[in-house]
Amino acid sequence: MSTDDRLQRWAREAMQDDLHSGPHLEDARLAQLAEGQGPATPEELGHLARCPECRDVLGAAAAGAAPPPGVIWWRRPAVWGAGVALAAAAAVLLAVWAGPPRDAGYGVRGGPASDAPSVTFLAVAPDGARRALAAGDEVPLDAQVGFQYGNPTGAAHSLTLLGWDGAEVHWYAPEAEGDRPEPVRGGADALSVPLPFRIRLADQHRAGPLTLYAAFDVDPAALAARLQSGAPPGPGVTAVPVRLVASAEKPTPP
Amino acid sequence: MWSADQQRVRRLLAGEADAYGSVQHEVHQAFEQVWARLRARYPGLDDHRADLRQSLEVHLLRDGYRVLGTYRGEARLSTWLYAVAMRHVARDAQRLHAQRVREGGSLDPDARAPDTDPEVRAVRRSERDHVRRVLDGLSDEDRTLVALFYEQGLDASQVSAILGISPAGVRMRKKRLLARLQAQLEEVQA
Repeated sequence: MSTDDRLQRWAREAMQDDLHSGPHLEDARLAQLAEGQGPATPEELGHLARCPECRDVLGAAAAGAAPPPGVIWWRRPAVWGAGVALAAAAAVLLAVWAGPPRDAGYGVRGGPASDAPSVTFLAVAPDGARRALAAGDEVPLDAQVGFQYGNPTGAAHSLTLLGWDGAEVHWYAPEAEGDRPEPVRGGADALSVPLPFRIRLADQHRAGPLTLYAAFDVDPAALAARLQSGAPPGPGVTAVPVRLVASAEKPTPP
Repeated sequence: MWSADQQRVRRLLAGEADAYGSVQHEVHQAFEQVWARLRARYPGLDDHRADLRQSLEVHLLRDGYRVLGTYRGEARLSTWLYAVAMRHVARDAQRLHAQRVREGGSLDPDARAPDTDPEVRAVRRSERDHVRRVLDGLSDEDRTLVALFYEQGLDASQVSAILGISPAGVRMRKKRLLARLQAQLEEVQA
């Protein structure tokens, strides 16, 4: 068993009994660290190294944090049809092709410290409000999904975008199997480039779980085949599982 | 200058239903994410899901908005809510779990394991103790890095934001750290 495997297996149990001294870090400060407003000071690192509770708070905040500034190109809407009723299944895979597969440095979110190609999935409500999609989000079927990528170094040449609902691959870019993936441009001004199309979810999806996939410089057909076979999508492929819901309910005021 | 999130919270505190609805939606999202992270850790917690969610709602959206009123726009409201939600729900979950243990369960992770063979359990415990000893010898920064990757499941981009170094730097540091830990684990086992 490799060290990586052993840590995967034992780190939580080995560190859950950590003892710390002094007060916990403030939730607001941990949220700042999660958004990259740090870095953590030596004192903060000293606390985090020994405090499982603050690590849990930081981990949850980091997992839920919106994309850092520089990649976002809209503000999270103040009101987007809150609450939701139903849940079902569907998945989305996005891809663009332009060369041999690569496996390093691609991520769904870039950031101030990252020049790696990145993709952000956007949900666009009927009233035009947009927000970045994160794992676990609920998306009404009357919404559209848009895409934005960053490629400041020009390392990527194409992008594939697909959806997977557990039974069927949905083709967004390219639009059909056998077509070439979406070309992407690179350069210092390619920090947040919106793709010129959106997906109307109601046209081809049902309520339920859906996973969106994006990959730079891969063969779209090969990626689709991996999804259909149940194999891992492979290195460098980003996935954002969401849940499509039939309609948005009005939230209940207090 | 108030941020849009601060303005939204101010409108909520002033009693505007639209603002309440949008914040309530984000509170529910935060709960779902936190719940997903905690339920695997505490077997038997499923029965208390509704109670935990209600407790979080009361914490954030009732009680005169005492907690929400402390939001100062330091981070996005959604990120702040994830942090507050994890702190609150995790403490509730720990309390419920401890209560369950007092009523006959066990906190011993080995006792929860499917393998009840004493020899298998002994091997598991030994392996875990080896890892613990090696991790205890790390610097604060390295120990935090290991925790963020392996305990919290974050990726290099997320860890880089926290530590203030590039994702490539994080990956390099992790690679070197793993090589060092490999050698230390072999020493400890020997």
